[in-house]
Amino acid sequence: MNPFLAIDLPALLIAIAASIACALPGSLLVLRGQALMGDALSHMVLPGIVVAFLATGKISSGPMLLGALAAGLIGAGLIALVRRAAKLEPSAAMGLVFTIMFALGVVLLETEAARKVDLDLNHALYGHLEAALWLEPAIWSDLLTPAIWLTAPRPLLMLVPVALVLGLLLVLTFKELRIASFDPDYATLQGFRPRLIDFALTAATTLAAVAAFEAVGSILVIALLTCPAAVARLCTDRLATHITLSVVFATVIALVGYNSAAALETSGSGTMAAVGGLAVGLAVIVRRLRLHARPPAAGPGTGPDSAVQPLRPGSV
Amino acid sequence: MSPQIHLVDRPLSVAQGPLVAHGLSVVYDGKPALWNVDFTAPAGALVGVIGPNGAGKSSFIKATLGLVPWASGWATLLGEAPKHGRARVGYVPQRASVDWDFPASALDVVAMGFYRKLGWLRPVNRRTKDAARECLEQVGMADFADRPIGQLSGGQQQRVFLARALAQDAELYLMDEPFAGVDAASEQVLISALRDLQAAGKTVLVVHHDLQTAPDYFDHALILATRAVASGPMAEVFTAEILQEAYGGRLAPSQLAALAV
Repeated sequence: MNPFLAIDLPALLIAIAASIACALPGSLLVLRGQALMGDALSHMVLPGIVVAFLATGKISSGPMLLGALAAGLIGAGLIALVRRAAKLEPSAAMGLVFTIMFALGVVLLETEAARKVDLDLNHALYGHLEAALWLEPAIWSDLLTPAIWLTAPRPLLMLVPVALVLGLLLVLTFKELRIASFDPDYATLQGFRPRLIDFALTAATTLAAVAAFEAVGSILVIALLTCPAAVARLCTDRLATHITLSVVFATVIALVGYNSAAALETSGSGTMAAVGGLAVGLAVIVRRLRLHARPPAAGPGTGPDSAVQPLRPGSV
Repeated sequence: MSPQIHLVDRPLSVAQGPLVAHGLSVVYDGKPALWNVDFTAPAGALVGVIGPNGAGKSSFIKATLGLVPWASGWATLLGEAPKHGRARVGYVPQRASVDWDFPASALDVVAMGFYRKLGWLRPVNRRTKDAARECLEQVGMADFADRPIGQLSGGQQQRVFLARALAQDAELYLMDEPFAGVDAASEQVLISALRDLQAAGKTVLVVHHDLQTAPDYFDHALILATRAVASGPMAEVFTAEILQEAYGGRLAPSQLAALAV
């Protein structure tokens, strides 16, 4: 057995795929100032996932996804209801609903039934990247056989199609996402349906959060949703470049995070999130230094203030 | 329900004029923002929608476009229900309704004026970009095509939004405070564009808050103070009496004198 092929390669691939799957919707959430929604969704899906576990008695992708999507929809409905019924501002209603639903998920996890199906609280919260084993490829050249990829660990078989579908959807609806995010009223007048696009983005975020659940757990998904996009936002003012860079940084954060975890013997998902946070800090410093060294040319409308594009509050 | 009541309820087929509002009301959280407004824009007119802050000027524009729900009454655009008529309406939104931090270049923004023609899922192609560049040229912003919209000055931003509305090649134009925060050069560009549109036979409604310039810019006015205080040719409605009524008596005599009304 080649230990790298059996242990490190699957974990690395899962880390990268989870990071990319989350960075795709995350890149837009950050731009739209909706990162909190991503956080809420990744927490609200937990009770749905646990109920799916309890119902089927095993970890399987289909029921898990259905349970999570149902929980996400119920949560979104509850947020709207609480907003109106309790007259709360949106972020307060969101915070209220997602913590309660998350708590419900944690309580369900601690029930006797959940213990029987071998569902571990720590793994549900923080993921279990290191658990992925891939014994089939004995030597490197085995990876050239297409059939061997079908024996890859389950999280990978779920994450790769999810990342591909999300990427394809993003490319297809690029123009719609741009107009609906920048100027929703104008999107309506141009014959598009910004609320349908909002809903699709919510669904895409839920899908990414569920797919990444086994790898990084439900708490740290938010780091994968926001960090690559936050770094990318500091590097560019173009939407296509922003999304591309988000994917690139997602890959780098996964690689550096996993390898640091191996070296430091820390949790894979936790280290990835920490590396993501460090990357944002580093990007802020580099940007400040560059702006300081090379002040923008004074032209019409280019004051020092207008050239700095701060992240909107609440986006990280 | 008798046919006659039906006709009074939704006389979409009999509405004459590019923009018609009848008994139009908008209510937010139980408070009326617009109350029982009757207004018909004459074809080919350059109409100033004038009134104090919170008079419902933006609500009026948004209600006629069907962007906010009607509490009562109805409106038509180019003789059709807003949902259909708005396809032929050029729109410059209120500054606050746009996300200025979103990464989009001036050219990206103008290209949005062609999105309806492109339809769902079709990407912005080279022809669209060339057409958008031409529209930017019309407002003297061709050199700024690749600049992020958030980094332009207020006047430049409004010129880009004007270019986007021009890209729509519409019959009716609705503009929400296009002159807000605009420099003198941009103001001239906007004014001459409005005149060009009128010369081409288009109807234009402009939300405007500056009483000083209103009589010079527009030939018609709709004076709003939640309800319609007055509407008609500028010379008839832009009087001290009507303005004092709209502004609740808050205009000082010196202000009125400066307006020479």
